[in-house]
Amino acid sequence: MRLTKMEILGLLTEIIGVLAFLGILFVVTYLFAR
Amino acid sequence: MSVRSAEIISYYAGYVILGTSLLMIIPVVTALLSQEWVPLLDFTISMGIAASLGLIFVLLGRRTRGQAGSIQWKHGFAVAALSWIILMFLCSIPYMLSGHTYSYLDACFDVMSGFTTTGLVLTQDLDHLSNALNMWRHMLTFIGGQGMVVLALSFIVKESSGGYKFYVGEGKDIALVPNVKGTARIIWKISMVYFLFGTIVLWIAGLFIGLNPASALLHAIYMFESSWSTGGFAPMTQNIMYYHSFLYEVVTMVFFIIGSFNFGLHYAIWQGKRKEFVRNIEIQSFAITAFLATALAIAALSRTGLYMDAVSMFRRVVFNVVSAHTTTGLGSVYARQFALQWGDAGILIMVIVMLIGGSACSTAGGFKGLRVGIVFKGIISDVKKLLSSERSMRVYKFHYMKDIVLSDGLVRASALIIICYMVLFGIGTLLGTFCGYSLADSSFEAASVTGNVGLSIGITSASMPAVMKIYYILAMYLGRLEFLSVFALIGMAITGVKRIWKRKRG
Repeated sequence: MRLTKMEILGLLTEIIGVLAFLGILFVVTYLFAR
Repeated sequence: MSVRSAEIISYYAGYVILGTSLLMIIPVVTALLSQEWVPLLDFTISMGIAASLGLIFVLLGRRTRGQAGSIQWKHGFAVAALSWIILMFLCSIPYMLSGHTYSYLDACFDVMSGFTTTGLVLTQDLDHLSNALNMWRHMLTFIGGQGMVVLALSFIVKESSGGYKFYVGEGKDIALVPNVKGTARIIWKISMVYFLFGTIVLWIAGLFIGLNPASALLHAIYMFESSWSTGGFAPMTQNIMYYHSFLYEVVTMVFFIIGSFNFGLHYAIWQGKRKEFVRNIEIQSFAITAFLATALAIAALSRTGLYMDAVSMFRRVVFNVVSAHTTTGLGSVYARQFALQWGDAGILIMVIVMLIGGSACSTAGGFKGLRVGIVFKGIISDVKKLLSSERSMRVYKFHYMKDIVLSDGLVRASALIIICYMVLFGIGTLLGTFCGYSLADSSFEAASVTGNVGLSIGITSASMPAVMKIYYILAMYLGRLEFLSVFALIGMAITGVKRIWKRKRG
């Protein structure tokens, strides 16, 4: 199973995108918890 | 149902059963490596029974061999619906033989919970389960998420024409490439790449928290399978709380959110269409509803003073809300804490997000963000039409891999499925209250089974009434297959009975 550069970038896009979303949720949590 | 239809269904269902029996090789190998001799015997017996039954089904329908072109939509639907029922009975044999379930019904409940990626558990003493049975439980949920019928037929049966009908029958209306085998291979490639990547990341996280390398690897495999398939099973009774690790929770969160995305979306992004990630109606719908639900839950629970700082609130509130929304069901609080500490507002938020669920054609359940988005856009377009001039003709579109015209038929179809889910949820809630549980508890558990989530408020246990176990099995099954396949199977069965009845009278 070989991955192309495009596929690796796609995988990273998904992971970074989800981490960014979780980051936003953490900021919201922090603001409420202060 | 004609004899020919019965033969077609028998032939393909037989292959699905045979394929699944072959999968039992993995727990057999696990038992051998772990030197678990009793589980080895359990799985060998179960494999023998499943393979024999599969072979009988194939032989009964052998006259239809090589005639895949004659498969109709009703056959695709019926094969999917029937295979799931038969596999539930067969795959629960190792559970029953293990002695970890009180009854065969409990074993069937757990298998259906696994297949449908729900994650509710009736198996007893999870902490002392054999590695082989743990591997089997998590494999079932992983394979159930990708589609068992699709897997078996795409890789075992040579003819591929008509295969798309099995796909749709299993609730995965997706064609990534014109060839159905190609689509199945792409789905499995995406899943396996994530499987390797996710297992390594979770293995490292396991080592960080002090698990020994072999144990960390097994836990990583189980937890990845559970997260990616939005299943919710865990190898230990305490579920994700067993690990006491923020890192482990964040990693599983990333994988269950990604797992709840449509396979078409993964494919588009992997093909370089990265803008799809923000333009897709399902992602927009998920981001909005997840954000609103999380913010509301945090607002409601921050007033109670239950969770004192941002990290503990993130780990308890955000984790559970997102787990419920993606229909995963991994829980970072104990079941009764929802009932006793979260209050009515918290429970209501959880019920709503559990019913909405993840993306269509993904491993997630619920009535799906796509349908919510379509109905919402339908309402907006209707309001705009009312406000605009009667002479004007406007076409409304939404973006789902490509721009699609928002037709009345599409809105109607989406609304109908949502109504079916709501009816299933309503009956489940009513049944719970009839059996003596509170309205809040009953609605929480009913939403969990209808949306294939797996979070529990404490109702699901071996001691709950048998009628509720049977209804929950049915709700998980209907919710996963999105009704149509099951309706098609029932319709075909009724037609068949009517024909036999007429012949006897005539």
